Amino acid sequence: MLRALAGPGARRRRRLLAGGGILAVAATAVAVLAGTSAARSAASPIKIGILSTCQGPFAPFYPETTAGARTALIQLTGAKPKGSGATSPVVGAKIGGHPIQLVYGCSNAQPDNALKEARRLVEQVKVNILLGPLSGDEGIAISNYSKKQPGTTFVNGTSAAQDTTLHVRSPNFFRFTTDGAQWMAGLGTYAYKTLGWKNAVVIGDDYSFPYTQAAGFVAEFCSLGGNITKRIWPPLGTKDYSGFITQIPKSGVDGFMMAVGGTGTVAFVKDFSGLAGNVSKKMVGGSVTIDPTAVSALGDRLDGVVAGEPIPAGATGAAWQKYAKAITKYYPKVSPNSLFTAGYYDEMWGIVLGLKKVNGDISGGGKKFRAALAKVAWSSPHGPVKLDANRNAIADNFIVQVTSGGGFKTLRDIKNVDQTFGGHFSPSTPAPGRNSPACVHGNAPSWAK
Amino acid sequence: MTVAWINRGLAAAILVFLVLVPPLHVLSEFNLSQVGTRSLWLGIAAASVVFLAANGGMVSLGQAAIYGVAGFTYADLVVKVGWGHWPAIFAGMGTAIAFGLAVGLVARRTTGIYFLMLTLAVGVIVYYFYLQVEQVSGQTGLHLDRAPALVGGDTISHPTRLYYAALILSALVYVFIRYLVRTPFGIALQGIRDDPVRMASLGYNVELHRAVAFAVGAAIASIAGILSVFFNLQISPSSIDINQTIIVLAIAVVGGLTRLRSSSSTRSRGRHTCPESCSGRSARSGTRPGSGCCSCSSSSPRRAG
Amino acid sequence: MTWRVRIADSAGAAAGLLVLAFALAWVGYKAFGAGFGVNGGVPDWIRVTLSGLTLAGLYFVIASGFTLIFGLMRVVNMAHGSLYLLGAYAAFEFQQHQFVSWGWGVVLSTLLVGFFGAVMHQLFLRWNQGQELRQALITIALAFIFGDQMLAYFGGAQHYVRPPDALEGNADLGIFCNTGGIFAGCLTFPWFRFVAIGAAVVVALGLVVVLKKTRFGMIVRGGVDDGAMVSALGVNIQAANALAFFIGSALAGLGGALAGVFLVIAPGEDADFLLKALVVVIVGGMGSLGGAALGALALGMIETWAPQYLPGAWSNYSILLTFLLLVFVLSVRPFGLFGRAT
Repeated sequence: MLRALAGPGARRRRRLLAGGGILAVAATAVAVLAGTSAARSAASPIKIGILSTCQGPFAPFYPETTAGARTALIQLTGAKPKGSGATSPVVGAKIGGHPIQLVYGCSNAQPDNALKEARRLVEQVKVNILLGPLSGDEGIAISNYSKKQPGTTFVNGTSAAQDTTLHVRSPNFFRFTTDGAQWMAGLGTYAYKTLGWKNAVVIGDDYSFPYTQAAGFVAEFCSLGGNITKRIWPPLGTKDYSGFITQIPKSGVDGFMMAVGGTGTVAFVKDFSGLAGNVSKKMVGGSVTIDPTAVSALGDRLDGVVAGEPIPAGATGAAWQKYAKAITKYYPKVSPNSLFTAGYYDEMWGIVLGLKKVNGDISGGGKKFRAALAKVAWSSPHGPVKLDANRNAIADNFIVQVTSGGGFKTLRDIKNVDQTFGGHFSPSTPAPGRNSPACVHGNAPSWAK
Repeated sequence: MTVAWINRGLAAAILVFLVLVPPLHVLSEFNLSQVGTRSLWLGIAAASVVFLAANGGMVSLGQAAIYGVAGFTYADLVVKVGWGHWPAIFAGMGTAIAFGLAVGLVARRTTGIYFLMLTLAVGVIVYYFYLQVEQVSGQTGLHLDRAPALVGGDTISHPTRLYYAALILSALVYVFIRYLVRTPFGIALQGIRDDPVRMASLGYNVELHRAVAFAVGAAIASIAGILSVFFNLQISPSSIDINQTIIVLAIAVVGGLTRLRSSSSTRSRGRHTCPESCSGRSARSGTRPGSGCCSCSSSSPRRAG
Repeated sequence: MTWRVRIADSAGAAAGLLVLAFALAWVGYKAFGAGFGVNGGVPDWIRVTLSGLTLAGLYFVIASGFTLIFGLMRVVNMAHGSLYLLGAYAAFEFQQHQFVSWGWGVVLSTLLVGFFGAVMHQLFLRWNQGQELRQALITIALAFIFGDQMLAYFGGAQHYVRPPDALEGNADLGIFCNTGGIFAGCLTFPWFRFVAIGAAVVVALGLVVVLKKTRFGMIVRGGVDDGAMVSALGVNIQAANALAFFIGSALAGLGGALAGVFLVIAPGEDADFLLKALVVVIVGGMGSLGGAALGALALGMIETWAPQYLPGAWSNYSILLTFLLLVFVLSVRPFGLFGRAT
């Protein structure tokens, strides 16, 4: 009896009832008559769920993510924003006659919580496309979940753990942004060649995103001939970094790479300057380490610090300026120089291009749409973006410096960084961790030569 | 008597309704799973809190940690060691019970608000343990492909079986608690809650009773832990963080920390032990007309030293 | 208690002392084993020990307020961490709007949080005096509400309070000078952290004077022993309660205003500092000022020594140590080191 209840017949019956009334019956009749489900009402709306974080350590980035996603929608579909709040509506978005509906979900950056929100959006609100989540471990949870929901298309937010696409490889999970290791492309070279470091230390928050960032730095720095003396991982929620800063060897170390996931920069830099003075020239940063919120909180203490970034913060090129102006026009309170704004902007851009290719046809669980989505490629504000076989982006990466006065300057643009990182990472390499990857000399990526 | 019958009728009606929910399609699949199943497994976790509070006078903030131990052990054995589901499930429950017994032994002389704090600390330790020790979890947590076929395999796409499993287990837990509080062990436990000094002088091993009771609570919570893994097909440290602890406690408090217990135990307790425990307190803090003993049981530890 | 329990207690205490002696010996070996030169372990030992003392001072300021409230009223104020965070944000706001100087900002934040706590007591905790569990649950709920309100108002970004110019920057101790490397130059330590240690000493002395020399202190001490009796003797216990809640909350606020300078202000710190305060007073014994001092010292030193001196990969587990300390103390002494059965 249990099996009968759980069977497909029961579910179809329920869906009919849930749909309720004549409309559903009529729609089904049409579908049956036409012999294909493609004939589902031409004006059926496309629901896009936007999953971001409005609680926890990443809460400050909530308005940035939603603004980025909506700006892309506005620019591509000619929709109009109503208000500039974090979730104020966008009206008139249409693709191939299908109106676009946005639904917002909000987590606290914990995988458990993200999964709960994703399930609400997918199973109850029944979104066709889920855009998100924001942070590393959330992404791993959601990509695992996406395997159980083959009829829904999942597009990553800014979550940048390597595992999400390289190891989980869910067929309906797409990432139009690069991963945390790719964000480090060029930084190892900068440390080795420009700063002249031979021996470096890695310090980072103790979880998957900083591991991934460290992996990118270590792979490139070591391939050139550098050595990693020590890797220090303060637990999340560390208040006083003194006991970790003193673990940096006193001699034989030229500098350290500091990768935080969220908002640890402020505490770390303050503690460091109390014990060992200015961080400039001694520290290179992970991508979130020089987030605009940290820079504005710390004032001049971050001056001159260099980090790897997926976006050319403060760039003066026309494409970037156009993007930055659009963000500021529609959502004046949001910084376009945040990778969270740009990340959600890119992901939404990819979604809309995919939808346009199939003229808004997401019938049959979106199979056609996903086939089109995998082939989407365009020239973004920060260079060309396309997907690899695991549906992870191949895009440019940037070396960015904090200038005095709290601005940013892009030092270098590295073209077409892919997830294998010049052959260092593959589905068979172990996931980045506290001690992996090992520091191996030789086989430098093409951009490091 | 009539009130009792009305209560029973109501309970039966609710049970019948819960059994009939899936075939009647009154709820969408989402609500069946996200509201129905979630309430049921959280309810089992809360039942373990209530069991300890109502019968042992121990308000525990460690139950989320204990179901975490069960869930993590199960998921670890399946994902990392490659065990089959059922051996892993029983190993998970066994580990949680052993852990509960160990905590119970450490906390055997701790009562009242100190017990609350100690179990909170245990909860935080377990959380940090799974957060920091990458070999068993790390912040990413563990992801299962599917649950055992008996509860529907892919429980995200096919939630109905898991719903029934949770419903049956909830009913079993309820019957088990009802049964347990009438056994000599249960009665002795209530006696210890109300007047440990008297029970000790009667020859009962007060501390052992407390420790064993905590292990029983752990056994109940471990069921919730396994169900939660079936339900989410993943478990991560955030599944047992302080928020989750508070949620479990809140469910127990809203349901009534001293409510979920069988009528018979109320009767047996009401006549003899309770007035004793109340007397000292009500003399000090004024009368408590009509409130019976429910409200004093939780504050009685003041006399427990 | 039976003789068996006593033996178990002594054995447990002996084991505890043994572990403590071993830990201290290990730290001593690591710190001084490689000689007293600039390349030995001494400079780092000074750095982490001073940091640990700073943290201990801060924890004491916060926990003393917590233990004072508990001692007199048996209220476990689970919203104490929220009061701490409120104090920190208040000091930050005063500075942002350049309302008053830094020093007055600290004073005003302290008084503001004290007042806030007193109001909270009058509204939510006065009518259910004596129902410990209910009050703990009410304050848990309040802590959640306050936390969300502060997140909504102050946002999720990290902030900190700038110290006055005189205290900005580092004290150059002029010893153990490195010629190169990351730590080039002589041993330094931030001026402001010395202030935090000083503040803890001042608060401790102040509390001792208040408790030993004033009528209010007499009532509190009496209340710790037997609240019902104090009240029966005709003392206006309600007024004393309100005052104790004011002082206890104000101390949390003071801790927040100071911590805002050398730590960071961020959502979630409220829960963290509630846990710290709980650990401190449970280890030391609820209601005991000396216990709070000892507990704060133990916690501060463990937090900074553990990552530095635990061998290799174990430093990742340093955060577990503080809670293991707690469990160990409670299993041997169920009411903390200086606590009494109540």
